[in-house]
Amino acid sequence: MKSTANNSSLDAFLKERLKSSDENFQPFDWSEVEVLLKHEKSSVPVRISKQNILIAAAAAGVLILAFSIFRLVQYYSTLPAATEVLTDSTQNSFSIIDTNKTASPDSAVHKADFSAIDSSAIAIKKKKTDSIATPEVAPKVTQDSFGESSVKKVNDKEIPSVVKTTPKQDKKKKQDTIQKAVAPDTASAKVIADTTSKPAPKEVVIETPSVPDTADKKLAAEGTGSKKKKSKAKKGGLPSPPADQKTDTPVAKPDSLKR
Amino acid sequence: MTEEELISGCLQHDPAAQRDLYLQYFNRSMRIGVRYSKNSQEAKVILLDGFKNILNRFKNYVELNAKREKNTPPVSLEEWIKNEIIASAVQHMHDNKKHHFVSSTISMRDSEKQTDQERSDEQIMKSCDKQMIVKALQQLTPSYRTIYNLHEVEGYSHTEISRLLDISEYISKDSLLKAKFNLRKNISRLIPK
Repeated sequence: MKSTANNSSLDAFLKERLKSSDENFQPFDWSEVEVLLKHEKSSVPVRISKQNILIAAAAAGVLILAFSIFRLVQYYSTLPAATEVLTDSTQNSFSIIDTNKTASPDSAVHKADFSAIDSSAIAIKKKKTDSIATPEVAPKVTQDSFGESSVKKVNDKEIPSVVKTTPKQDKKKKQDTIQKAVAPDTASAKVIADTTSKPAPKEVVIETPSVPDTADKKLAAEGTGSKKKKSKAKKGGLPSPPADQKTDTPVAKPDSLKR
Repeated sequence: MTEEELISGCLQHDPAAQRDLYLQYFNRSMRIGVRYSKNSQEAKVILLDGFKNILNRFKNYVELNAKREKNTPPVSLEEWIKNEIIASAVQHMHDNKKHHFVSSTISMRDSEKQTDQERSDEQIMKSCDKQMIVKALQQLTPSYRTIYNLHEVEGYSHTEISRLLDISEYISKDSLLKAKFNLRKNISRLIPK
């Protein structure tokens, strides 16, 4: 504690001595200050600290990086080989669609990236085959120009652009399109309808030449039952017709019997 | 020239008024500069920088008094010049930061040795004069010197010092203790046996 007390007294002593204003200095020449003031007025105050230099360097680095990345992107985007591949793939995909006059069910295919067209072209082909097998897909793609043109060419009629259709509606539309396609020949349509509705006439036609069948049967029966006939002939009785022949004759010629 | 005439002349960048202000406040400013510097040359640099700022930013003094609250007393010209010189000294220290804030190698155990120190304290109080104290102060590291001056002579708090020098309060307190010890050591070295 003694030391602290002494220290505090010494501190106070030093403080007093330092604060005292008994010291005089020879003033510097005023011209020095004047020069400084003139220099200050003429020069633009720019402080270049380490932080400013670092920030400027970082900004320059970022700019250079951005420029180099931009140049790289530009270079790769303008490569001829890449563009050829891209254009070929796109043209192929579009030409396939045009020739088959079918549309891909997804309109998003056209919006997809060109890089993914090679893979999507296969998918389009698959879908094409499906669409050819089942024409119900065609009305779905009405937004695309391809779909519309193909639909027009197929049906020679304008179809309203309805995108969303339920399976039931599709079936109905399918039936309608089939009917419309066949609609110009109403007579033939009726004939077809009659043929489809009525039972097959072959059955009737087949019934008339039923005799040869029975004859064949007779011949077959003769082959098997010749021994029996011979035995009956030996007995002296007339040869009686077989049971099948008796039943078939009235059925085969009903009209002749009546007459 | 009166103070009002000096102020109006300095506001209009009148060279005569500026010269009068410089001559009038040179001694007071130089005393401050000497305490914050290691030699007279550095004190001159601090003083010239300080006066350059004072004369260029004299408008700030008028604005400071205009913006002050009604209850607070107006800032005197002497006080404002003193603050500007101190700010110039602190700025000078910041500009030469790589030479400053050198950690002291003195351990605090040395300060606890009281055998010879009590005598030396008494001797210091008896025999040392102001020039000797200023010389001992100039031998301190710039950080210790600045912190000692700000706290002991100007009466700044550790919070204000930490804000002004961009250091923590703990460093300010620690530096002050070390500065006091080193100052005492330097004075005792300067006193002839």
